[in-house]
Amino acid sequence: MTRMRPNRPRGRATRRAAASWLAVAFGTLLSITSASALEFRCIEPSRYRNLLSVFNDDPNLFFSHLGLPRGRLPDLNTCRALLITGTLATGDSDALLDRIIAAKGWLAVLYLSLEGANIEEEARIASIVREFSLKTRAVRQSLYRYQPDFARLWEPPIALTGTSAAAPPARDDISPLHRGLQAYAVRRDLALPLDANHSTCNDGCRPIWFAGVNRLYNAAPAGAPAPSDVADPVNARLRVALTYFIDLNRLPAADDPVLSKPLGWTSATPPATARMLRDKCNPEFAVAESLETRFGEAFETAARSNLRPREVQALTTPFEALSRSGARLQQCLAAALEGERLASFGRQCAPACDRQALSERFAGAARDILGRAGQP
Amino acid sequence: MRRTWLTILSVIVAGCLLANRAAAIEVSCIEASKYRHLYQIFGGDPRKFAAYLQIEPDRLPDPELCRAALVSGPIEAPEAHDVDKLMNFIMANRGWLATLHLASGGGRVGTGYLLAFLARSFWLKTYTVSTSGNALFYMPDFFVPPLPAASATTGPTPAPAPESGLAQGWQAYLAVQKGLPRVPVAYRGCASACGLIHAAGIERFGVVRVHRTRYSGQGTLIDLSKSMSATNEGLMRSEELQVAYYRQMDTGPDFISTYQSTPPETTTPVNVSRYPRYVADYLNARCGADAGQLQRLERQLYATIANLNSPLFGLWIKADRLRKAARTVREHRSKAEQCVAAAHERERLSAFDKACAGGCTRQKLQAMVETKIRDLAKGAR
Repeated sequence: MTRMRPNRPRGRATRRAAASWLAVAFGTLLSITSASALEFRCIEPSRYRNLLSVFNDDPNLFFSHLGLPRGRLPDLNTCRALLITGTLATGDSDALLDRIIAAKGWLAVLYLSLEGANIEEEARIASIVREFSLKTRAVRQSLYRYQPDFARLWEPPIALTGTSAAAPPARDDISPLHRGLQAYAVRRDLALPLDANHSTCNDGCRPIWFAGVNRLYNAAPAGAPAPSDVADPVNARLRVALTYFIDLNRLPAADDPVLSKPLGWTSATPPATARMLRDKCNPEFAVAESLETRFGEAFETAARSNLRPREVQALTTPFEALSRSGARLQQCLAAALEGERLASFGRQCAPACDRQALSERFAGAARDILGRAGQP
Repeated sequence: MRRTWLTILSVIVAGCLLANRAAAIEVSCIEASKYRHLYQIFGGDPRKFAAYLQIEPDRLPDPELCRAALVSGPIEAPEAHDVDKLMNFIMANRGWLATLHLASGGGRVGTGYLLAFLARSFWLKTYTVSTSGNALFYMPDFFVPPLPAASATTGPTPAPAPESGLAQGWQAYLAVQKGLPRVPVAYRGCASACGLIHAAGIERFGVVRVHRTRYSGQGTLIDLSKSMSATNEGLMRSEELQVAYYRQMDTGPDFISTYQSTPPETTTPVNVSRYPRYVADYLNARCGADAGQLQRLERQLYATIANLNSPLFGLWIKADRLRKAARTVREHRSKAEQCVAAAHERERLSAFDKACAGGCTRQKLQAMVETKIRDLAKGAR
């Protein structure tokens, strides 16, 4: 009886092939473990070629609204906003750096719908977000529409004529962007492609959201349980310390009660950004506040006359003045944030972006913060 | 000339007869509008309800009657009995039906006129249906919900608004409403021939989508079997009639110009003025305030607060004066709306008494609305 021997690779060539297969497999394994697990997707309507319509396709309006000197437009294929989904893993901070560098400073907003926890990576990404002055949007439920971050559609003031009087034509000159925003708002691709089962910004997502220079979120569904880090109290404490450091550039005292509180969803603006905005838009703030007072006085006069139709109609003028000043204030704030972001990019990347150096710097900063925050 | 208008009318009726689709409007009671539920706002006391609307306490609605109806689905030809459905509903509710909530993409213009004149004859209010998701969202027509308690303010205390003592009752009513089954709404708007009914409301709320009239062909948008001259002449006459109708209902110049300038293959949204002008003048004089204007002022105040306080830009101004103004407007408006509601209540009950004196019959009501259409056609000359 002849015993069948299994086929075995024979010869030097075969051995070499097997060795290279193993190397490829090992390499693949390595690359899997170190690969970015987050997915960065461009939000299509945020490509500058799409956003131009908000500015009535007028480059002058683009530069003037954003308070920028006339120059080259950004590459029109660049995305102003990214949607980040998936699960946090080592290497994600470098992937984000790559995106920021590729956008040459024109990436402004991150929509965060990511899961998982990796405290060191969270700290790195949070540092990157703050140092590049990015805005953050936390996805807390699966319906979220992309909204340009630099302008708001002010509907024309409603005619305050009496019910039986002819209404004057609606004013659409509260902001020069009115028509552009109106046209943009009817786009059909503004809803973010979110997975209803994986869309809540929680755990490791929270400090990244907190690092934004303007942080917003969509409302959580009614009755949804409040996110909590109770399952991982050590990381919860570290995250609070991390966000505290990012906002105030110092760590809380070890017995600071803030460390035992869960991360909140409040405060849209970090203190330093608020100071910068208040400083840069001081005249616009003064005028808007004064016009709100003026409206209040005009209203009290009308109320003393029992809000008779003629008195109510007379409120149209102070209303329009207040609306215009509000739109001007918002334009100034948008321009200030834009300038700050571009300046941040310039600071990080002057004279050119050295990705390796940046990566090491942010890794070092993250280790330093976490090291100090982790000490009792 | 008279013969011409009679021809138009016969064309409208013939147009109605052409339809043979099975679908038709549905007229159904909005459960949350049953008087037994609405009494909850007044602590379950019908006399307080009567006092609020200044009606005789000995003439109160049966608790099972409906104050509001949902009118949904396509408006169809006479054999679909759309008009009968509304007539029966009005008669069954014995004058206590006050509002129609419209959820229809339109249909037969001829039936639309009949339904519309029926609505106006019985002094009904019309709303484009409001929804929350795809379910009907109902708000009583006579009551402005109270605002949450305000923080302490300085200055003289204003006279209490009529709804201020009803905050608890309002919460009780909301709790009842929450327990009622959801009413799904298939078409969330009011377009085309539905606009005729909307325009007939004595108080009108919500947006209507309008377009010019057309002859529709078999499976085509426009009937190309007719000659161009016949199409032009026929539709010009039809438009004159419709414009005369909108004038009679006093929908406002914007409404008419939007209707005339919108091609038939599309629709344009338009706001109908809340009241006919002379009704507005009357109510302003009677109530010492313009409730519609105060409503717009309140809406504008909240819109401005929302705009100014947008967190999109990181910082915003305080809008305390605007908030205070909004509260003051709400107080004034509550009183004005109560006065307006009471005036409408009396007028509607007397309209029912007048139309149904000596008993309401289908034939009598049919004759009444047909007379109104004939008068309209004569007037359009």
